[in-house]
Amino acid sequence: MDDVLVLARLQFAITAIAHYLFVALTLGLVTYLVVMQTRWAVTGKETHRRQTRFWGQLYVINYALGIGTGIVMEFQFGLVWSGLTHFTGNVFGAPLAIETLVAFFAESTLLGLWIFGWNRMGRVLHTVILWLVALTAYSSVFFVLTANGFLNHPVGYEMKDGKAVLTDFTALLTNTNALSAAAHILAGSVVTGSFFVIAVSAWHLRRRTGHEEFFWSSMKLALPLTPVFVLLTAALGGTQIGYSVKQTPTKYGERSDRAQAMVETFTQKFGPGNYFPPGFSQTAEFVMIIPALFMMLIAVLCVLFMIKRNLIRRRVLLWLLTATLVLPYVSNISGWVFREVGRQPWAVYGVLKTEDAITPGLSYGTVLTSLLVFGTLVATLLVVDWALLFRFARRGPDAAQLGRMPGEGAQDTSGPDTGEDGVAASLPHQTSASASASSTPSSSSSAPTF
Amino acid sequence: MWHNIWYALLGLFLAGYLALDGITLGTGIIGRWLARDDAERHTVAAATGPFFLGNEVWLVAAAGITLGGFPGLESSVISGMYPLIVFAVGALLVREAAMQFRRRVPGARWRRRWDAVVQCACLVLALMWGALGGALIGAVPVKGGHLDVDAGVLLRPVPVLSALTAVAVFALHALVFLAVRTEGGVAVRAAELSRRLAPVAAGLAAVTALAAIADGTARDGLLNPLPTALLFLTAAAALLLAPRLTTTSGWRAPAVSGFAALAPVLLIGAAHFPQTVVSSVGPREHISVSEAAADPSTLSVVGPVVLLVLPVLLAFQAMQWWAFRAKADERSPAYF
Repeated sequence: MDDVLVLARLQFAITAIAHYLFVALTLGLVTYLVVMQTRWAVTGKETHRRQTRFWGQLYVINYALGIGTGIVMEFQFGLVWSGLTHFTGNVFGAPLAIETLVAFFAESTLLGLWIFGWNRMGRVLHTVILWLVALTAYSSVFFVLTANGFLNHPVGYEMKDGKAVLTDFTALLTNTNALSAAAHILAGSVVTGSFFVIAVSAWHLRRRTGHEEFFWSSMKLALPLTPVFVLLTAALGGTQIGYSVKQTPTKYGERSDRAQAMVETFTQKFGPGNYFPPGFSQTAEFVMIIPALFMMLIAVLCVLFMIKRNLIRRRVLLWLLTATLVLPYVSNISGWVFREVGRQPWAVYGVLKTEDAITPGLSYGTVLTSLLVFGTLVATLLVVDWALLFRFARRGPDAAQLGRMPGEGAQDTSGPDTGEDGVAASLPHQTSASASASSTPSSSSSAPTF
Repeated sequence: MWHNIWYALLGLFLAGYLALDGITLGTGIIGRWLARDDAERHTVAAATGPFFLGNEVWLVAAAGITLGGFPGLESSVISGMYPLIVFAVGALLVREAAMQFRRRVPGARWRRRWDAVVQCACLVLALMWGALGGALIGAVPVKGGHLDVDAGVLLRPVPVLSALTAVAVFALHALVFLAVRTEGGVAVRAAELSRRLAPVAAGLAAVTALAAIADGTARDGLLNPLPTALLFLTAAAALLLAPRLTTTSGWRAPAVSGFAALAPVLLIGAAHFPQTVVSSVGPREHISVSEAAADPSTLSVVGPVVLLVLPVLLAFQAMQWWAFRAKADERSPAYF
């Protein structure tokens, strides 16, 4: 049984970590996209359109596995953790149900409209759609963290016949544990998105790929904001710790009086046992914080070099900025390890142990099989997805397929398979003159304008 | 009262998933063979691409409703069907990625490889959903609200036949859709092929139904035989009718084949109501809608929120269909 539990937890950890690798960038990039596309909507300038298309292309590629791994996670609750839904589903499931409907259902539909709305919707409507995509994505964070906050600090419920019953929905939605975590995570995502924009821009500037204006303008947008958001993330993290030290004291080791008192309560209710998480969860806290210090240092240093575009000539700094992209990911993952492993041995803190949350009757072989299936698929697809991200990031703004108009940026179309590449690349070339028009819908398309 | 409203919501989203993602599934299965050259492949991709994300998300919503509204189904059906759900979810993940990857790198080899992956994933998904429906329409060994993981439940004649039927029905639905939404050679061939496939799909459905009547455990699941039989006959008629409508009635044709695709949700609902899952152990072990549902305190608080946003969600969906209502050809924009 213990072995099954280990496998089941490993399976959830792998999918959750893989999911968050994509989610953090999705949330961060969409924030920048909103700024870029709004600039385009207001000014109508082609440079802003190009910027939105290039970063939007990377955003959409990254999004692919964000959805995929999200679906895997959603079904894991039913597959492996049906004890969680059985005992606390009345409360824990509510925010997740709202998330899938109010946030994700709308987000996905709108994202489809945004991807295919290029060149056929009015500029303003198309921008409004992106705004809605961003808003629904943010609200996703809120509802998912409401569910996760309940696991860390259960509120708004009452136990009836061994099952949790929702008694106070407002208390559930205003759980300080959830709200502080959601704010911390949103700010951290913007940091991730910032370093992504910075890293790709720095690569192009260092390699002198001939898009200096394009990438300097992206750099100018992201770099000065970065120290602000690193600080904000740290401050919000501090707030979060302020709450969780009181709410989940065992996360912070055995020394505090609060932790000892909490263990006593647990022992009275659930009998004696080890109520402290494994030691590496506290190590994870430091692995989260230390990269943040470096991110701050590097960002501030490079902001100082922005005067008169000094930075473009500092190849070491540009190299450093590209390499720094690893750091937000390290912090993101360690932060989650600290939060979730630190909650152990509880699935719902002080209410339901992880060993009781697992689906009864699962065999070792069943979980091992699914772990191997999901593990292999996620790992393989992650490699391909990142390879595509690198490819599109490296090739620069002319290679973006998203929102390509007839004859526009046809760098990739010289191969034997011209007809199948990119959006509308197979359109007759006489229409290429219209490519210079900044926003008018393509007149040669048989599709209606919307 | 609220548990019935939630049950209807679950039915709505599951039905929406089958009718809409059924197009993507069927196109994935049959599109590779239907399109003869690159231009036609482009047409097929352009016809279904804009709706891909908006279609598959109905399943995510249905799973969310199960998670929040029906913990009793979550812990019986999903964990009880462990191997099936693992393959289905794996296929969803692979399809999601492959759909996004296939046109990112120019070159026929890259695209063909991912097209094959999409086809496999769609085939696995169609088979899994078919088998799931075939298993759930009958009585399953549920005891104490818990279904033990058991591959034997799935390897009976009804789930197997139902899986094959699902493949045929989704393929037919996609052909009818492509006949209406595309122009040129693809449309003509899709209409032709759909007319030939319709009797096969209806025949498979009929064989499945006969097997269900002959098989004891499947028959035990039919608590309300009459409405189930009527629904089944309507769905089978829809299968035969849809291809005939492609030339005359435009969008009504895929609506009719869509009804056939979503019919299993109605069939299971009608066959079992007011139970959700019928137990082969005995009537006392059946899981009724109210037993499967979350506590009324949850349903009555979250329910109004869901009902309030539902029109907005449906409006977004309608907007998507309106925006991309024009016929697709080899010059239409395609991204996926």
